[in-house]
Amino acid sequence: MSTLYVMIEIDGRLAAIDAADVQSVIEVGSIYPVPRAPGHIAGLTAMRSQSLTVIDCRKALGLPSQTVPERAPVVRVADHSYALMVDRVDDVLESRSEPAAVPGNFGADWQRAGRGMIETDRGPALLVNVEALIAGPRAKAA
Amino acid sequence: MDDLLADFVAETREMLEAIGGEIVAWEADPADGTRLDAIFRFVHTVKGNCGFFDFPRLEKLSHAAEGTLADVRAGRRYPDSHLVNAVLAIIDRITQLIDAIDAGQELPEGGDDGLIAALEPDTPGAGESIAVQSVTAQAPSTASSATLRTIRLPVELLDRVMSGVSDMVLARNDLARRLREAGAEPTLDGPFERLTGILNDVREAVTRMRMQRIEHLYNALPRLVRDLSAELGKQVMVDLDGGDVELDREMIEMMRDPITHIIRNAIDHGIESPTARLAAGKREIGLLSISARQSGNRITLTVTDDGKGLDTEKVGRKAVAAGLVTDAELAAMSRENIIELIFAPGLSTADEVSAVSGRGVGMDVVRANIERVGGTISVSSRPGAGTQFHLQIPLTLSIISALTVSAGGQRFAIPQSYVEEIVHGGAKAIEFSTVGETRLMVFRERRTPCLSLAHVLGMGGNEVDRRQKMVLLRLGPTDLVALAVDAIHDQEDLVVKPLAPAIMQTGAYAGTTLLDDGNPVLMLDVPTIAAQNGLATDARARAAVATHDDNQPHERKLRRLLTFTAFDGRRKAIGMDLVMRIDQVPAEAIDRSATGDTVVIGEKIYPLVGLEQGCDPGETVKLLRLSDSLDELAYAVAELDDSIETGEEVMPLPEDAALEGLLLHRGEQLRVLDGFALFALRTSVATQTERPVCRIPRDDEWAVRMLEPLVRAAGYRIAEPDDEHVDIEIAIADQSALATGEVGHCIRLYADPDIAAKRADGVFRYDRSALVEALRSARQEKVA
Repeated sequence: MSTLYVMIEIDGRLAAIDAADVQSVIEVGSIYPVPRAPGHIAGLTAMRSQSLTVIDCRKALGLPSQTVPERAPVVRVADHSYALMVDRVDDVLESRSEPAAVPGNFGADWQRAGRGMIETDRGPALLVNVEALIAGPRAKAA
Repeated sequence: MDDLLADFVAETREMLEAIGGEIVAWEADPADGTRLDAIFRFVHTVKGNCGFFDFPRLEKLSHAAEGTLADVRAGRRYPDSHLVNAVLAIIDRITQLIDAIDAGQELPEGGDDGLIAALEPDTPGAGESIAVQSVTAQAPSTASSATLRTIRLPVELLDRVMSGVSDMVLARNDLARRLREAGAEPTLDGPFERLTGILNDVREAVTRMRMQRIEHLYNALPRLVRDLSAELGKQVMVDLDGGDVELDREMIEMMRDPITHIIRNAIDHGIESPTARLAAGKREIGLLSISARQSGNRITLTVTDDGKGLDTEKVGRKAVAAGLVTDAELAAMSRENIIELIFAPGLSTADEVSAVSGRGVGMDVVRANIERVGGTISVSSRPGAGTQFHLQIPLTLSIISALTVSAGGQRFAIPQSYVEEIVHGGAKAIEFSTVGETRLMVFRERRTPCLSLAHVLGMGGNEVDRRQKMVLLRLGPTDLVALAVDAIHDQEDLVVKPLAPAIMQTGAYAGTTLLDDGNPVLMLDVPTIAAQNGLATDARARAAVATHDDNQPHERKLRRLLTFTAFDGRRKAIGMDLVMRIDQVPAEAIDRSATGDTVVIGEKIYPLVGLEQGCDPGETVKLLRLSDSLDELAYAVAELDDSIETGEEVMPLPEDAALEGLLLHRGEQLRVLDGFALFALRTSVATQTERPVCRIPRDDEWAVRMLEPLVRAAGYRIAEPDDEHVDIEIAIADQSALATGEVGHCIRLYADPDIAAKRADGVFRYDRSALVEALRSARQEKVA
């Protein structure tokens, strides 16, 4: 049986998040910055009367930040909800394969955030480890 | 764990908690048959219940205790202290076993036989070492009453319901905002109002579900006091009051450690040995009283002992030794300031580390824990007469009253419990200076360190602009810090939610919440911010302040007044001590009538003063909520101004009874409202044209806090030090009388009800009705 994935794009690369991890996809409204928070935390935003922590995935991967996209998947980790700022959110797709190791290396930051590679109808995609994205570039030891 | 077993554990715990007090009472009077019966029933029930489960050790222990207690009941044995200790040791072991079963751990092996053997008449001492183990670790359980139908619920479920309801409130606020934006829609307004009403009811009910009587905290205390006093060779009686006061279950748990710590200290350091007490002319049994009172949405817990009081010399020496203050600074400090040093980190007054207190956990930790939940702690002490700790804590952890401010273009919330005062940076009374990298603000002759919120949060420099507002935050009893912000918005009750761990790591924030307009706002973590800027532990600053204060020791008494512009366009002022908080209400909340205006704030109706006939207050009205500690009323103001401190005399204005008089402040006339007249006018207390004068000890904190409002409510004016004539004087009997003027009549307050009963002019200090009666009859004598 194949698993469902939410397809996203970060820095032009196709990536995937396990659909079971994603609570919803929201329209990102205003983002309220959190002074002194780590760089990959873009701030707080309100979703249906809750506040969410917004993660700038490009920064979490050590890439320069871009303009704010319109939609973001919401994930819940350790009782906190996060909105993931990615370049684009695409469809939900079924994978055509089990996650597999990528031949070679993803590159330092991608390596940390990736759990493997899956085949989809749109081609190969990196399966993203949400916890690693939220932890950000600082938690390299983990 | 299966349900049956869980029930067994919960039931046994409940019984353990319930008999905690019985055991101590029984020990005090072993001949008391009813207590003995209660304890007997407990061990008997435990024995019976564990027959259903495979707990041979529990069964053996309870069987042995039951046998011994049966002998006592039959008169075959006398319950001497040896036997009592042995029974207590067994009950403690049962508690441990129950805890182990609950945690699903291996039961701690061994020792049971020794405990059982100790029950025999001729094996001295075996039980004693175990008997003193603390039972405070007991988990709380939901109270059940025989007359009410109850069910047992896991606390996690309650928490989930509570957080669900909090979310519903936020969702409602969001919806309300969207409805407003969409414009009037009469068909929606009705159902929405109804939803709001229901939601408020549910929220209140859920809050009550999480409430527990403070008895749950009290139950363990008699036993704790008994064990500690036995260990330390002291005799202590414990008096618990206000057990029916309810507060959030979580809050009760948060209070357990601080209260235990304060009690330990009181018994270890406060209360003297029986011989020393007799030598000092006191009863040989020390009295430790703990009382709880609810006032508004805060609970006041008071722990009082009648021991020797805090040894300021010793505290001072320790503080110098610990490097908290220098000798010179210490010499300049007042007694109150030295007493406050016990809350400084790294100070323990114990000469040697005893088993009971002085384990390295100091009062600084107690204070930090209480402040973490938005509470405050203060201490007062009189040499030879005792020590009193006042703890003020909010009813619940999840809703915090906060002030919203903005800095660097963003909004932040500051817990109201830290906010002392707000001043405009441009006020003439303020001077700024810079010493090294530190900014200082001189305000009311105090040097206060000054932080710019934008700078603290890395959004700007630490320059303070005169156009900014200064929020004075109280860090400790005498520590203030000024926080410069761009604007002050509102005071709101906020439902605070935890933040993601990565944000918590910054240390600057305590949580987040959504405002009514749907925007998220961050709640500042004041103590951590202060600590990060090197301010929280600065005992030197405290000493410096004290030095400064003592340079002008007996200036005219300064009054703090809040100034405002009233609806009649005049500038007025009112005593700061009367102002509870500042509210803003929509004009619809006000009901105007010929007999007097009223206003709805929250869910209560308050009498409203300050609106002139026929004046239009506009869409929203700012209100001062005033309290004389018995009644509350609201005063409508057109514009709020600074708070001022003044030593100027108020010039009486006899033609206007509502005014205390005129005050000259920086060349301007301020009309000072007479708080007494305000309340007399609107709260149906009989008005009095000329008030009799009463002198109370002004240097006694209890008198100022507790006595003064009561005396005022009885229709008296409090005497100023230079009042020649007073109609009545209230003296605290163990203080020297301080009659300085002509006194018509005197009431003496005694801490001991027995002595008070023997004197004609004596009243027990906590006998409120007797005191009120004495004041009333004195007033009638004067009239007659």
